[in-house]
Amino acid sequence: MSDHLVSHTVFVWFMTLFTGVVAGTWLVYDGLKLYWLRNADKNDPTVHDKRFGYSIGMLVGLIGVLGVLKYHL
Amino acid sequence: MVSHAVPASGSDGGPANVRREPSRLNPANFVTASRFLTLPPFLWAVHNGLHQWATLFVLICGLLDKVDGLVAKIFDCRSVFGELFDAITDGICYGFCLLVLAVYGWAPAIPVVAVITLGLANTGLRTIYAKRAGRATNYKSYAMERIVAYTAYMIGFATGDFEVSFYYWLYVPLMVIVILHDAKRMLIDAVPGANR
Repeated sequence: MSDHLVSHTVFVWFMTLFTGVVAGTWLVYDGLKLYWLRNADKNDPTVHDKRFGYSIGMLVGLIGVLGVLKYHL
Repeated sequence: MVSHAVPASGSDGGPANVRREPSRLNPANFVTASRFLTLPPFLWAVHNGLHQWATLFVLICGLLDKVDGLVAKIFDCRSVFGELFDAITDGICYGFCLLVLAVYGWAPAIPVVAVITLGLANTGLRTIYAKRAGRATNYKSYAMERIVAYTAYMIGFATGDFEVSFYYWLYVPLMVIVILHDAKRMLIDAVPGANR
């Protein structure tokens, strides 16, 4: 069986687009969710958990985008 | 299908209303269980050095993880057992894949060992949290959900040979921060609706 389901170039661009699009969307979407929580009760533990989670989500998204840029630059 | 009345958990692990617990033999759990079928072909692909095939099987496993939640909604068979089964399946599938990648040298061993150790620590914390709550419950961590998704991606990065060191080494400090945060929430903070 051949390793190549698709050519190496297609595979690399598939990985690039898949990672870039998902990570970029993740970064923006979690950023928006964090922004929408700006007026929420800071003493509510669930709100605290959400804020922390969305911040981590933004970091994960940023790492994803940076990795894609690092690969191609 | 057999169903039982059980107290449902709220999003924070607290009690919500009482609803019907569906049978454990439901379509969503079948989809979750089917993820195990991707592991033997994944191992075969890595053993034979087939990067693209290995990536394909990881993608299928990750896709099924998304589909089971959708199936649970469509068939209205969400349950506490299903949530726990899903979490356990995540741990087994991703842990197995990471171990295979480290053994075959496709991923750096130190971050993989750190990830698996921290994952086991997280499982222990959740067990203690359930004991504190006095019932079968799953602490909902928004941060850990994102870290688990990152884990799935890491397996894909290793099979695709895509900036492997960059993604693996940055993952470790991120997971340490999340584990420390969740440990405080599960071990020290008050448990909503605890029986004791």
